[in-house]
Amino acid sequence: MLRFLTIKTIRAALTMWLVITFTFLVLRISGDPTDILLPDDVSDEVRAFYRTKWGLDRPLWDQYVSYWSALLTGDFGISLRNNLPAWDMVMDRAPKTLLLGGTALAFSLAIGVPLGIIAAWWRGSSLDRVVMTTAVFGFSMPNFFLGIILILTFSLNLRWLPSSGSDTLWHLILPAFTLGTAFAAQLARFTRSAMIDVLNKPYMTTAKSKGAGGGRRVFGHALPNASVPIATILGLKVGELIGGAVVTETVFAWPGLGRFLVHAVAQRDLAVVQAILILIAATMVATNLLVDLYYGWADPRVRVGRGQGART
Amino acid sequence: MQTAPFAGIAPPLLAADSVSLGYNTGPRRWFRPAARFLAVEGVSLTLQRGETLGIVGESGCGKSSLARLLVGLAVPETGTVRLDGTPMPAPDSPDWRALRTRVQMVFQDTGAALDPRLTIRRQVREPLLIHRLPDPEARTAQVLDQVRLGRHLWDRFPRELSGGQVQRVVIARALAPRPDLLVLDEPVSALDVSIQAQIVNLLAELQRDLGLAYVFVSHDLGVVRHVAHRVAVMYLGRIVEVAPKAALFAHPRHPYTQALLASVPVADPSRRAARITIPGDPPSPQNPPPGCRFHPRCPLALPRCATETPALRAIGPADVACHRAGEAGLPSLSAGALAVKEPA
Repeated sequence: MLRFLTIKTIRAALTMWLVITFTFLVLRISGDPTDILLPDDVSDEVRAFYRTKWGLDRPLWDQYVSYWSALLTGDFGISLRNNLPAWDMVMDRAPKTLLLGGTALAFSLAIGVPLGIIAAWWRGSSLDRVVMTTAVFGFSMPNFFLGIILILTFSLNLRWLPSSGSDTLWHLILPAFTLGTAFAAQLARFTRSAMIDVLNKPYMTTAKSKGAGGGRRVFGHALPNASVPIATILGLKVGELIGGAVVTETVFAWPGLGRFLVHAVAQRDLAVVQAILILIAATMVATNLLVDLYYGWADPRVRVGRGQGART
Repeated sequence: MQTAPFAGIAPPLLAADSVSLGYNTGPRRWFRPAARFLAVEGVSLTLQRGETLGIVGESGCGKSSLARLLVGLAVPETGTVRLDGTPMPAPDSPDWRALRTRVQMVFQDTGAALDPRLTIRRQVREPLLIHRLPDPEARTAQVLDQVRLGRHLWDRFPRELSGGQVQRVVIARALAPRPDLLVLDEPVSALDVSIQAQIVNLLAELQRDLGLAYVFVSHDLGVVRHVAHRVAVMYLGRIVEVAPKAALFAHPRHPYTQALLASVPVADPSRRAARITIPGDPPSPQNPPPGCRFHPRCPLALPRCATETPALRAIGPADVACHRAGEAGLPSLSAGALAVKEPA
C-alpha cells in the first residue's frame, strides 16, 4: 500500500510540473501581453519599459527559472492589469467556484447514481426507459439554454429565485441545478451500464443463490464493484465542474473562476491565467489521487499489484 | 420432517415433473412473437437423499439449463420441480430464499462465481449471515477445513488462488449452510486431471460423511462414471436414457448413448475399438427435428421415429426413450453399425 501511495504521489508531482511548464511556455510563446494591455499608439520606449518591467525581454529560460523560484516561495506573480498579487485575486473567486461546483457535484451524485441503479436493476422495464429518456434530454440540453429556461420560469414568472449574483444560498440553486443536470444525466447512464455489467456477472447469480435479497445484492456486491468505473468518471468530471462552468457562470452572473479565466486569457494577464490553471490542475490531480486511493480500497486487485497473485 | 403422503413411501428429495424451459433467440417484434427455442423439454427425473445423479450430454443439449431449473434459479415454463414433495417457490420470494439453505449450486465458471472484492472467508461466511445461522465464524472455519483449503489462504482474494483452490472455496461456500442437495454444473471440467481427481474424491468423501445428494452435470463421461450412482443422458433438451451407472455403461440401450460411450477415448491402444462416429452435427436446437430428435442421425431410425416422439419406458433397469430399444436382434452400435467412413 505504501509503495502504491508513493508511486501515485510522485506521478501527481510530475503531472503538476508538466502542467506548469507547459502553460508557462504556451503563454509566453503565443503572444506579447504589451500588444493587448497597452494602447496602440503608445511609443516604443514605453512598450520597452513595460517589457523590461515585466521581465518579458529576458530569455525564456531565465524567465522560467525566476518564475519557479518565485513559485516555490508562494509568489504567483503580479497581475499585469492591476498590479495585485495573482494568487490573491484567484483566491477571491475560488470559494464561490468550489461552492457552485461542489453543490452541482453533490446534486448530480444524489440524483444520477440512484437513478442509474434503479434503471439497471429494472433494466428493460418502462421505468428504465423513462429514466434513460430523461437522461438523454438532461445531457443534450446546452447549459445556457437550460439556464435561461430556469431563469424565465423561476425568476421571471414565478419570482421564486434570484436570477443572478451570489449573495445568498438562494442564488446558488439555479446555477447549481443547471451545472449539475447534465452531469447527473451522464452519471445515471454511466452508473446504469456499470451496474448492468456487474449484475450480469456470475458472482451475482452466486449471491442470489446464497439467498441474498435485492438490497444485499445491490449494495453488498454490485455497487462496490461498479463503483470503480464510476469513481473514474467522477475524478475526470471534478476538473470540468471547477474550471468549465464558464457558460453557467456567465448566464447567472456567478463570480467564479471560469469567467475570471476567460477574462484573464483575453487580456493576456499571464500571472493570473497561470495561477488559475495551476489551481485547476492541482484540483484535478488531487481528486485523481483520491480516486486512485479509492481504487485501492474498493478493488483489492489494484492493491495486490501485478505479479503478486499466487496463480499456480 | 413432514409426513409422507403415502405410508412408507417418502417423496424423493428432488423430483422434476416434465419441466421445460425456453429462451427467446431474437428481439420481440411488433405483432410477432420472438423466436424461441426449448433448451429443456419435458424432462422428468427424481433424486433420493445421498444419491448422485449424473447428467451427461454434448454442449448445448440443455444440461446447464436443467441444472438452473433444479435449483430453482430458473422457473420452468411447464411442469414443476419439487423438493421433498413441495413445489419450488418463485425465485427471490422469501420462501425461495429460505430454501437456499437446503439447495445449493456450484457454478460452471468458478473463477467468476466469486466476488473479486471479498476475501475467501467473507464469501463463505455470507450465506450464514444472510440466513442468521448460528456461529458463522466457526462454521466458516469448519467448511474451509472440510474442503482442505490451507488456512493461510482464508483471507486472500479469489484472484490470488489457483483454479483448484477456487473450486474448493466454491464448494465450501455451497456447503456452508448445510444443504441436502448440491447441483454441480461442470464442477471439474476447467481443472487439470490431477486436480479433478482431488475434487471428485473430496465430493465423494463429503457425500459419505454428510449424506449429501448431488446432481452432477458434466460432458465428461469418465468423471460421471466415477461419481454418479445413476446417469441421465440428454440430447437436444430431452432425456434419452436414465439408468443406474453400471447398467448404462455396460449395456447402453439408446443409440445415442451407445455412440456417446463409444466416443470416450481409451488409453490402451490394444483395447481401442473401431471408433464410432455419429454422422452429422447435432441439429440446431432452435429448429429441432420432429419426432425423436436423434432420428436424422440414427442408423436405426424407422419412419415412425420422424413423427412420433418416443417416451421414456422401462427396459430392464433403464428408462429409454427410443421406439426400437429392447427389440430382439437389434444390431448393437458398438458392432460398427454407426461407423462411418472417416472424412478424407
